[in-house]
Amino acid sequence: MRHTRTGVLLVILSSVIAGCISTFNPVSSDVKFKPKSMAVIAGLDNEPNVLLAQAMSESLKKNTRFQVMPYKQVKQSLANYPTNIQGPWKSAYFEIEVDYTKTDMKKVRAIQQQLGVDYLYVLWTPSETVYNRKIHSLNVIGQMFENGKEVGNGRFNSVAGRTDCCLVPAPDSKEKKDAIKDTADYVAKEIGEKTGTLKQ
Amino acid sequence: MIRTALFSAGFAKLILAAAVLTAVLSGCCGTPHPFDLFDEKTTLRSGSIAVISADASETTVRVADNLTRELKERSTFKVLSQEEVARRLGKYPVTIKRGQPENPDKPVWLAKGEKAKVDAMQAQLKTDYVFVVWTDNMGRITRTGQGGSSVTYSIDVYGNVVEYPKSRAIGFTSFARNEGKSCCLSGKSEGDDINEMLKGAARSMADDFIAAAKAEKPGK
Repeated sequence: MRHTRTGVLLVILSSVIAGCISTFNPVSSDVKFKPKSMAVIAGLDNEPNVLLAQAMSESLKKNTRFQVMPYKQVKQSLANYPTNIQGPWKSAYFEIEVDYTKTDMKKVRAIQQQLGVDYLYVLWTPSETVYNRKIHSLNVIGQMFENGKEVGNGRFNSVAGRTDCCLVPAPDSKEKKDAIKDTADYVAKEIGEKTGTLKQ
Repeated sequence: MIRTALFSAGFAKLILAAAVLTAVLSGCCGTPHPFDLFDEKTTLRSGSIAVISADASETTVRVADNLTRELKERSTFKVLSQEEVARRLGKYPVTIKRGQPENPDKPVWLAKGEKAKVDAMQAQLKTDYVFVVWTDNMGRITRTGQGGSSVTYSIDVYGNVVEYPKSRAIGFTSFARNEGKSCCLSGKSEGDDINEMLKGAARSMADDFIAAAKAEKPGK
């Protein structure tokens, strides 16, 4: 578990340092975040996306002062959840080629209105990739909206597997789930720091 | 003695590397089956067909879309476009879970309980055949040798064709598709290489399905 966590942090940190990704960034310095109500939803109907949305919901509740709507309540409030929302990318394989204009804002606004929250954080996992058949990476892109307007966005990967050495088995589903939880914790803290809502 | 030990270790590594390389190049799944009927005697009538993406991942959606285009262009089947599939289903794609098949020689990939989902979809699609497609393990394999390094992309593709109104699976897909990296030489992006790989996968599936169904459009 500790190894997985270290691996996740190393991958996230190395990517951030290399300038490849930013887990979360406000869209402008003018945006002032307040610890108001928030819901986290999956942008795609696939299992890892749903797991991540649930984990992020719990992590944000634990680590920030946002009033996060329980994930169970999100599911109950939205008919046909999870549904597919067109996300902000041109292509999404090993890298997500970002295009924030592609997001289906009509759907996002409708969902935010239905949930009645001040902030809606949508997470998409359009691709899962495997490096040398041993290191599993869930590619994630997220956007945060306040009253139907984008206020933050970011990209990150949830990585399971420590090495591509041929003697080490590929990560199983439990390791992938643990990686999702660890990544959600890391990113939630980042969001807390960057929005000034981190719990002390 | 030490030299023998070193040689043995080196040789073992070489054998292991060769085995891994062979496994990678031949795909994860042994013999490739872009499409095979469970029973060669099965006759397909050239009716209507819908391809269904079994999840919302970019790769599965693309393979389903490419396969739809290939079948539309090259077969005598009446093929529903992906837009039409989405329109008739309302919510599409939805996750159809893949499980371990009971009979690995005649694999039905649908996880327990998921067949009902496909039947419900067919009731809205009203086609004679439904081709369910899954992808998994999109991989990037880097090999480094004395001559430099090379990158190969790979993806595993699975599928089942279900015939209606009998509501029975009549054939399957199970293979891995590989594509070498060309982007640095030709100015293509990684996305272009992967798109080619996904198109190639769909083309292979269409080749074998059209041949099995004896449904080639004249002149194609």
